[in-house]
Amino acid sequence: MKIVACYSNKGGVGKTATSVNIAYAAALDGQRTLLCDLDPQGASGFYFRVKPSKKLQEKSFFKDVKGLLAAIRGSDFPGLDLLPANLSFRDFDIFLSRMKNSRSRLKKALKEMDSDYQVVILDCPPNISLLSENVFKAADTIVVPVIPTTLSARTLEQLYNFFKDKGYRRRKLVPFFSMVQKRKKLHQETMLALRTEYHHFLPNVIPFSSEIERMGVHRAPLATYAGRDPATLAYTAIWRDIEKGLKTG
Amino acid sequence: MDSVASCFPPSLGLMKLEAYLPAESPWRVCLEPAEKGQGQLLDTFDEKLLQGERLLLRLGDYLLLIDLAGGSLVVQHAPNIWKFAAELAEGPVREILAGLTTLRAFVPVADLRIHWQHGALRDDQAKAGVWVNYLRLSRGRRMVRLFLAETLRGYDQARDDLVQALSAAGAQPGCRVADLYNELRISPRNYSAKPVIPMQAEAPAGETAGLIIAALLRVARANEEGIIADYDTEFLHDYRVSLRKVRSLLNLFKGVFDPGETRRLQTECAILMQETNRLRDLDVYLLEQAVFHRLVPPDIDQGLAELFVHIAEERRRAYAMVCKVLHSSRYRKRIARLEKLFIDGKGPSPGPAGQEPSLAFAGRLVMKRYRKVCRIARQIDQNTADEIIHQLRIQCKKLRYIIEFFAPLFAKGDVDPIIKPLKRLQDNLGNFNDASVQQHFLGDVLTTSLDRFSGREIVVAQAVGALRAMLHQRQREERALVEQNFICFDSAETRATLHQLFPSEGL
Repeated sequence: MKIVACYSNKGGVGKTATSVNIAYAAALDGQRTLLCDLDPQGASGFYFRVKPSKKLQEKSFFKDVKGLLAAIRGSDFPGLDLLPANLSFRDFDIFLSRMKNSRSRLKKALKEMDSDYQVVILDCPPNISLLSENVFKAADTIVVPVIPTTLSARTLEQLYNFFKDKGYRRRKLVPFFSMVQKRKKLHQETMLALRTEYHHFLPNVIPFSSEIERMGVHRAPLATYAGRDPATLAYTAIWRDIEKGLKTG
Repeated sequence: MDSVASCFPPSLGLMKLEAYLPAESPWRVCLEPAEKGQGQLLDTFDEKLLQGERLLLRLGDYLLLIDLAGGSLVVQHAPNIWKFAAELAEGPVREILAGLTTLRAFVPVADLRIHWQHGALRDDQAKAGVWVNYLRLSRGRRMVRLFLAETLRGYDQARDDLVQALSAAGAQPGCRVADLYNELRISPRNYSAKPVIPMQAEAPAGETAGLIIAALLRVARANEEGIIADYDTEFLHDYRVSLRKVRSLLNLFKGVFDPGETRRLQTECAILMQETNRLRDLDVYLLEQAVFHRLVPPDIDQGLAELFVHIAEERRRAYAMVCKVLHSSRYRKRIARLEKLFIDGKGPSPGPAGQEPSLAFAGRLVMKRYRKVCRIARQIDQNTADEIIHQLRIQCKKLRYIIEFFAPLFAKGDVDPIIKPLKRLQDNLGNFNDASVQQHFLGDVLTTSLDRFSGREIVVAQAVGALRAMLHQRQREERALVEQNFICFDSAETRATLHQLFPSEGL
């Protein structure tokens, strides 16, 4: 089982859209996939029309294996299941801080799903916290959507510095450009500068697309209603890039 | 995902089912538009799908594969013409069919009128909790209604509501394919290449031999139509194996029939076998095509492709010849004589051993052959001539036939401790023999048929040469395994099983 986290310490960069669409692409590729929504806003669940799990509180997430497995819901798409979030997830940090080995609890919880899934995608909330440190430990790869703007460049630098300070493996971080508008000179220049500074950017980029915004209307992955949109093709390509990286380690 | 399969009563339609859901249920039946039209039920000749509780339906561009035991339905698009799983595009139907058989063709069993509707039980967010499929299959005036439901993970409440609704509506839980066949008045073929022949331990050996031959002749005859239709290679294979067994039985069961009649029948069988030798050989080469392509380097692969075009042409000619034979009055008379003797009549006049009790006769035959196999095998070492290996293969085949002929005399599984290691040894010896025969065939291509590849002689010769070298290597590898496989066969367990089966026979 490979764990792919979709993470950024900045909000509004397309984490949930990426999580939903690469999870769909992985399942379409024949991989048994679980999309695990860690963001208390529960947007991933919303996109798949799955209601928040009332029973799965922060305590049962990390301590009750049966409860965690029982909260998983099959999506309407073959091979793709979802672990929906709920508002109690906002207290994960308080709960984790009271536990022993507070930085490796997520890895332990996900291990219980090893036989059920080949790929687990984590849709993460945008902050640096005890939960995100759990994510950094558990994930085989951490994909980081980056809008090619100055602010995003700054948060990416903060993330790399955090990894360096804490001694986490920086090779796990795999940034890629999101919401790219190639006609914007700022986007072009920022992309060039960041690719020069960080060598592990994925070759494919996600273009800005109004179809991505319409995911909230359709409440379904992009490929199911806009199969030919460049953004759909880009998510598939990004998933292939990630998969290749997972295979080569 | 757990599943439910039910048969609907005639009064119940899919839309009416919603009315039977519990009043407080948040689930509603949401349906896609129905697909309907004239379709077909498909299966292999040996009814692999029927036996596995599956139905394969063709409806327009769709192939629907229903697993009644598991309650699931998978769908994929089908090309206009296809027979084998490998000819389908990647998809869930192909995956299951290919897992069942790669050699047998899927052929029409019956024309049906099919009405198929799928949908889901959905909540107020339009999220599915259970996938549902409803099928109405009609044949003439007969009709069956089939309902399949697959619960998505975590939606057990939706499943419970549905089960309650089905029960309230009078749907019958669980269906068997045989019942659907019966309801639609479709007769199963019940074909088996290895039919179970009821026999008695104390019955005269001549009578038992007659029963076995009659069953084998029925198998051979059942395959004639498929050979002529050229659905797949297994028709000819089963046909030939049956006749070969008849011939072997006549040869091995010495004295059960009158010696003069036995000789005449052996000749009849030999003639029947000869007529199809060439076609079977060519079938085997074509079936091995992909393996052969993997054996030669890619730069000379083109020569091999040319060779296979030639083999396919030869096969077309051989097939036409076999069809001509099977249609001929000479063949019909010959097979009718055998049928009259063994199926309609009482068999040939008995010989000196004809009255011996079957079990005692079987014990004598099995032990004699076992001792012969051991005598040959124990002299084999790394320097033994290939001819001795060939003899061992033939004796092993005879031993296997005798044990299988008499297997119905024993409880199910009793002969397995002998058959399993014997089969492994036979597979090994068979591979050794195939590699040897194939080298000779390729040698013949070089010496007699090369002029047919005008202008491409060199590439073909290169490919044939490379393939012969690889087959020689393979033959050596198989040769090296024979000793070890014989030790596995000639074990204390085998001897103990033989002693248990035939206590009066000494080892």
